[in-house]
Amino acid sequence: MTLDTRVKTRGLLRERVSSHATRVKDFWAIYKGSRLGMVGLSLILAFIIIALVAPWLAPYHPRALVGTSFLPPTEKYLLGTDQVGRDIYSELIWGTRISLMVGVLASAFAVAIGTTIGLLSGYYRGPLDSVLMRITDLFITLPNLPFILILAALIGRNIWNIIFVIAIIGWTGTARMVRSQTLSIKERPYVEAARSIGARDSQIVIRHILPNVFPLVFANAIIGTVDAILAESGLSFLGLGDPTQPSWGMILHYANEAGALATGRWWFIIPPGVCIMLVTIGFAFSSYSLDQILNPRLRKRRW
Amino acid sequence: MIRKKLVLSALISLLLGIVTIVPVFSSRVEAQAREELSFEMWTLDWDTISVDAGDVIEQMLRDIGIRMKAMPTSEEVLYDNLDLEHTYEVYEMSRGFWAYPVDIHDRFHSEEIRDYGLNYAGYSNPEFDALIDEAFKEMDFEKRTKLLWDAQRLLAEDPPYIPLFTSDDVHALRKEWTGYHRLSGGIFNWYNRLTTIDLRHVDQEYGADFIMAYPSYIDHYNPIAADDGRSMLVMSMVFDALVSYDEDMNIIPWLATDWTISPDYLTITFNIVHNAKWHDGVPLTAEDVKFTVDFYKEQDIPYDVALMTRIESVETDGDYTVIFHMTEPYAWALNGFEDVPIVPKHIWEGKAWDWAVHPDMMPIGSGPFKWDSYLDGEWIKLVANPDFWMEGKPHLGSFTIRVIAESSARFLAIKKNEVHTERYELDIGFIEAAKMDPNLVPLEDTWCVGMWDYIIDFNQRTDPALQDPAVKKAIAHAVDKQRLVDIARLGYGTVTDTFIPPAFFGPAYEDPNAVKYEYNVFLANKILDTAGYLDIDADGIREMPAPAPDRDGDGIPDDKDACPDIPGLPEYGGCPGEVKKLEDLVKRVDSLAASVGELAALKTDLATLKTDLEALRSQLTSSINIAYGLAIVAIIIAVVAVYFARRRE
Amino acid sequence: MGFKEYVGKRILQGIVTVVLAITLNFIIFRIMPGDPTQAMVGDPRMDPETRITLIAKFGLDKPLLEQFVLYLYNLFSGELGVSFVQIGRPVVEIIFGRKLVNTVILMGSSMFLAFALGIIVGVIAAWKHGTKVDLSSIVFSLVTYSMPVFWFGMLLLLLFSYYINIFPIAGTVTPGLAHANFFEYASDYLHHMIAPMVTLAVSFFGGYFLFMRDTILDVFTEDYMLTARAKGLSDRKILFKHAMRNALLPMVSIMGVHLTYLISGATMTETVFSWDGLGRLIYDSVRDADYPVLQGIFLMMAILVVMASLCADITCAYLDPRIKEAAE
Repeated sequence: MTLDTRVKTRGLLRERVSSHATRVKDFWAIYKGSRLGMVGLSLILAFIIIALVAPWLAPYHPRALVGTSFLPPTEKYLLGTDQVGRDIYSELIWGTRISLMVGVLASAFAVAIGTTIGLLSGYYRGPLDSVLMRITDLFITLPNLPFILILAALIGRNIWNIIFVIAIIGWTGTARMVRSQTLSIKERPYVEAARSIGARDSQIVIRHILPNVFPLVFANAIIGTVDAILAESGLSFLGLGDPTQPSWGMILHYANEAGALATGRWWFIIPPGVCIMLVTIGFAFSSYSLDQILNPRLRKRRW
Repeated sequence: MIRKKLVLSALISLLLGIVTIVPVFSSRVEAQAREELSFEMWTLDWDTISVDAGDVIEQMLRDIGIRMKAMPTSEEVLYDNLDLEHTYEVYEMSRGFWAYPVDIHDRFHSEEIRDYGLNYAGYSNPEFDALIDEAFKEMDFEKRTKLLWDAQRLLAEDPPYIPLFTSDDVHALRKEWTGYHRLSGGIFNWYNRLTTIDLRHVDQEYGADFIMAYPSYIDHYNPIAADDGRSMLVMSMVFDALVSYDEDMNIIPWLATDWTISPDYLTITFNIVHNAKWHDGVPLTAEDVKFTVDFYKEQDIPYDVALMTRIESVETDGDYTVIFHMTEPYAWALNGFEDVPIVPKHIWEGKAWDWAVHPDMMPIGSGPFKWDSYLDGEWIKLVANPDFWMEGKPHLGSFTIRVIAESSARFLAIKKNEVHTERYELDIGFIEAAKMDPNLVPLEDTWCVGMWDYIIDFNQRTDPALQDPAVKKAIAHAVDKQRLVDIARLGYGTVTDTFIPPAFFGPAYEDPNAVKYEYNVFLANKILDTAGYLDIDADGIREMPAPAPDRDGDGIPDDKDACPDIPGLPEYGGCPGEVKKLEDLVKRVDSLAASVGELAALKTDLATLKTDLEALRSQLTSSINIAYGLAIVAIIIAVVAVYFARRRE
Repeated sequence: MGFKEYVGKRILQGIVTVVLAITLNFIIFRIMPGDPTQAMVGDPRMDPETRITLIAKFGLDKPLLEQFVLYLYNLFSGELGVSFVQIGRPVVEIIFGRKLVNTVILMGSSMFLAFALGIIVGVIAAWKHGTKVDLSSIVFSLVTYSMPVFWFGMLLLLLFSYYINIFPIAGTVTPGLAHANFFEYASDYLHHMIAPMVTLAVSFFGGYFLFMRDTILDVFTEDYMLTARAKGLSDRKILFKHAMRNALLPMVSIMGVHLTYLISGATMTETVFSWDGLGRLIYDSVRDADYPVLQGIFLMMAILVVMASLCADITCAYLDPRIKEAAE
């Protein structure tokens, strides 16, 4: 590249970054106004902080047997003990890490897969499109939970396997959406213009299509986190989670097995479920607000 | 300027690289030059007792420097490995006793080392095999029991598994019901026919309707194919056997009123009741008994094989006498007959043994209950057989089974009197509530020693450390079995010290000279120290011993190197025999201590300190922590990168 | 593109999807770890003759491609294999019996309830958007969407079966009860069905509600609304004549896809409430490794979902010509 081009590229880069920064600032201003969104965001942040400070916040190691079984909440054990004598409060705090990690990673992978497929499918059209769309249809028709159950049973109960399994179930929505967006953006005039000056396909995709697709993909990722967290807790509850990681779903699994419902041990059953709910509500509220903001048609409305 | 950009990206990649690779290497560094006493112990994931006990054992064994990682595993994977692959290291779960001590053959005889054989550990000892073969031919109880004791003691010298405890059967039963009998294995069990005939309502001697909750539906309608506890209970109510058991696990007459065994032990003659009828009215005769046994033999039925292969032929003498000719004396012949359901010749003749007895007709038996109606997957209703051959039995009018999958739901149903009991023993989660419920029979009154015996089993094929009796004995000494019972069964369990626990099989099996491994962590540590398993790198886990130097200088690596026959050394006279007494052990330890003493003591102190540090370190190096660390680093890098990019002006 | 061509194209797509589903089904259970023959007929209690017959029938000792052909052949003659767990019982018998009926009734009624509630509340919220009613329904739907289905079921069970004894604990009907007539049977069945149905419906309500509300509000901001208002039509009339009808169409189209989510929810709900249906069968089969049954269920579900979405799409296309244009 000549010096000229290099300077231009840097200049463009600078512009891009600062224009992104402005967009982000504008976006944040709007987002702050949405009450639901702020509630959601604060919930998410709260749980992230809990996850990060877990080793210092939790009074005990989550896997250590510290007391007698089935103790009700006391001073020593804020939420009582489980069926072998572990502190439930510590387990809940440490479980935040697992739920967040599984939720975010699984959703991120799912969205990444979906975006790739959607982009390829929408941009190149033709036989590639048909094949990819048929595969997408196939994955749509697969019932989620049974498929996850089977895969989990086949490839073993490991936290990374679970993330993988949830991810390969959840990419279809993103794929479809990205594809339709790509289709519509492709027809826009500036894309045509770019193509006529001989821009490469990858440049077009990265420079024009991705940035436009990104906000919706991001929104999908957020709502995908809800599904991923619910999927992981469902899996764990049914007994197929990673037994070495005290996720909230596993706590509920043990609680159920130990008959906490029938014997009124509410401290065993209710807190983990409430934690799951709060985290997912956080993401759901944020996703709802994001949707409201990013969808241009919605912005016209008052709410 | 470009160079600055390059330098920046180089710095960032270096940082990322270090952050990613260092943890990988640090775990590599952990990998020892020498192997550790580190094992993976599989527990059965749906069995909370197994899982809970496994977690406690893992913590207990850390005290003696062994890492026994408890891994809840699915039943499928576990049994695939036990039946076929045989590559597991250790497992901890319950096997389940038969009503008579035939397990000692099934679990340890070398002929059971095969695909689908029951000798999962791969224990092979010809002396042991010989003892068992002889015992199983010995019809005299005293002599047989002595042989079994010898076999037990032999096993204990190099134990392929460690018996832990039985999960005792405490039942939640509504107090309006009485007449149950307490046998080993529980008040509701397939060989507990006495409960079946005597169970009745407190206020209603005859005709009451009893409802039992099942965790899932029966697997088989066919009494011969029934091999799961749920089906077998139903079948034992509908079909009769020649004999049954009483409260002390003695054989009592059932369909057979009496029997005689010839002096050479090769002929057994049974006289059966005269008034037995099948549920469709046809009388039951000796022909049906003969047909049943012939049926088993002709079709090579894979059940009750031990008995059937030893029956040469069977003949009838009149309508109510059956004569069995055996190939050899078989100590458990009568017990074997208790397992065989007598099936009607006029219905089963000409069919395959596993024919789908349902839905053509509900199975016709001769037992105290007969099939009335059922809804596949949901419930079964059995009604009392009015023509049952035993006078005045059964007392119940009907016996209904409801399938309630959730354990909580089952317990709630009992509390609400929608069902009166459940098939299996109470889960620990419900024991407190059951004790406080005034509507239930007090738990102590239903308490029977359980048939589910929990063990830690060591695969003799994989790790050489697991073949060393010292390691196994040390583990046996390091496990506090009563604490396991207290945690895993809330105290409703019985500690087992021997392979044929008298608590289950009867006090006559109590061996006064039995070898037992008491809970003694100090002793466990000393055994491992003596055997050479020392914690060299002070990480809290012992390493395998160094290969023994050629101490006796003969150039041959053998036992003599461990204790060379050199005058002046304490081992002069060769390797002493198995150390059974604590005094001998302490003497040996003292002699060793003379040469290695202070170092060992120091090492153990360091080891305890290191275990604490290791716990902390393990927290830090777990994968999730790395992810969070990376996340923080990534955020910092992103911020820095953005900052630099903006500063490019 | 004409209507007929669209239908033809969609049916073709559906068939391709089904074929792919059959293939995937086949592959999954053949790439299982371990010896495939072992997995199919590995139960040691199965007698050797049965095993040989089964191996021959499913060609388990032949190369994979031949196996696939045999599999297809068996499939089209209605032969789905024999269960491992309930030895000897054909899979078709296990699946296409009461369990299917129970699940269909439960899923159908929950879906209908969620759908109906979603529409009604969605309309109300859209009508009154910006008010507290709107906000609270949004919050309610987001909360129920985020709630784990099984946990909600357990809470309901605790509350209404234990503390307040309104609903039964488990099962589809009271056992051993001889129902005098069909009406009694139906009411007993319904009594048992209320709790699981409510659980499922509540967890699905959220999605439908938000979608309905969004779609109606979208319609209100469309340009032709301006024309309608200018024409003097009251807002109310616009709502019922235009908005709802336009909103219903996309709702129907997503119903087909939602079937899969419903099945997942049904699996957990059926386990918690001991409802004897396909969901619990799936869970039990996974635990017991009853692969033939699982294969059968998967196949059936794939076909069901394809058919459902096909019907939904065709109905939509029939009612709204614009969709046909936008389709491809």
